[in-house]
Amino acid sequence: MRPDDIPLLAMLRDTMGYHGARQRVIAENVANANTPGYTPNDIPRSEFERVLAGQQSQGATGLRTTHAQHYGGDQGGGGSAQFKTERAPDSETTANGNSVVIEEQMVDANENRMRFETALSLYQKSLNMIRMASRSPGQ
Amino acid sequence: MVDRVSETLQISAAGLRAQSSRMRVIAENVANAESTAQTPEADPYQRQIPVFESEFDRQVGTELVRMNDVTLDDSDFRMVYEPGHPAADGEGYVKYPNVSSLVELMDMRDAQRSYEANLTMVEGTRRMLERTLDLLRR
Repeated sequence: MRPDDIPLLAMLRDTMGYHGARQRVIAENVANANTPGYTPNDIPRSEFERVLAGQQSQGATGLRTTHAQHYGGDQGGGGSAQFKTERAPDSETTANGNSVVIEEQMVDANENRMRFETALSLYQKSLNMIRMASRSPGQ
Repeated sequence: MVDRVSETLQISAAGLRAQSSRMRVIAENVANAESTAQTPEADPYQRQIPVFESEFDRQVGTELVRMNDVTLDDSDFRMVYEPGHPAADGEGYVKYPNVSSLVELMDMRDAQRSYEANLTMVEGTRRMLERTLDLLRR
């Protein structure tokens, strides 16, 4: 059994994957804050929900493994979910066609990090609970 | 997950690099604000403008920003009346570089601000990675 077999942990892992991907997109926006003609990207929340829903339905219709040596199809174990980015221009566009507003990106980055850390703390707590349950009594 | 984080760091590092190259160009402009030519025919120092570009990087597998090119500012040179200057023309005017220290100063502030924003991203990403690695510690 892997930790991912517990639905809660799998979901938290996906959440962290989403925020990791989003952090990357925001970093790209900030790095291009002075590139002429650049439009910032973002991964909307709906995209995360789409990927999550896709993985859950995939789990239900995936290949059944009835033997230890069976290949289990794709169990989504690699955290390889691909999130699509979409253009999300900020409130201002400069004369050279760049629509990155650093302040807005910073706010997004902070919010993203907080959500990531929330998921991470929940993951940590869940692991601790499993650890507590598997400990022999009285120790 | 972790390679995605290191990718994020690479992107921010490219941003830092681009901004510091821009600082270098600005410093060059400011340093040459008074660099006139030797003869009346020659042009003095021409202001340089850094141009950024997002380019696909094979190694990282994503687009990284970099300073693509430096273009020259085509605006007119400052004409200063200085008859004794070796580069003075027939009427005693000398062409001075089209560098305005005020514009350069604003540009420098902007570069600084972008640099700091990239640095903040590195800091935030690093903290995310650290907290994830903390899972192993307990």
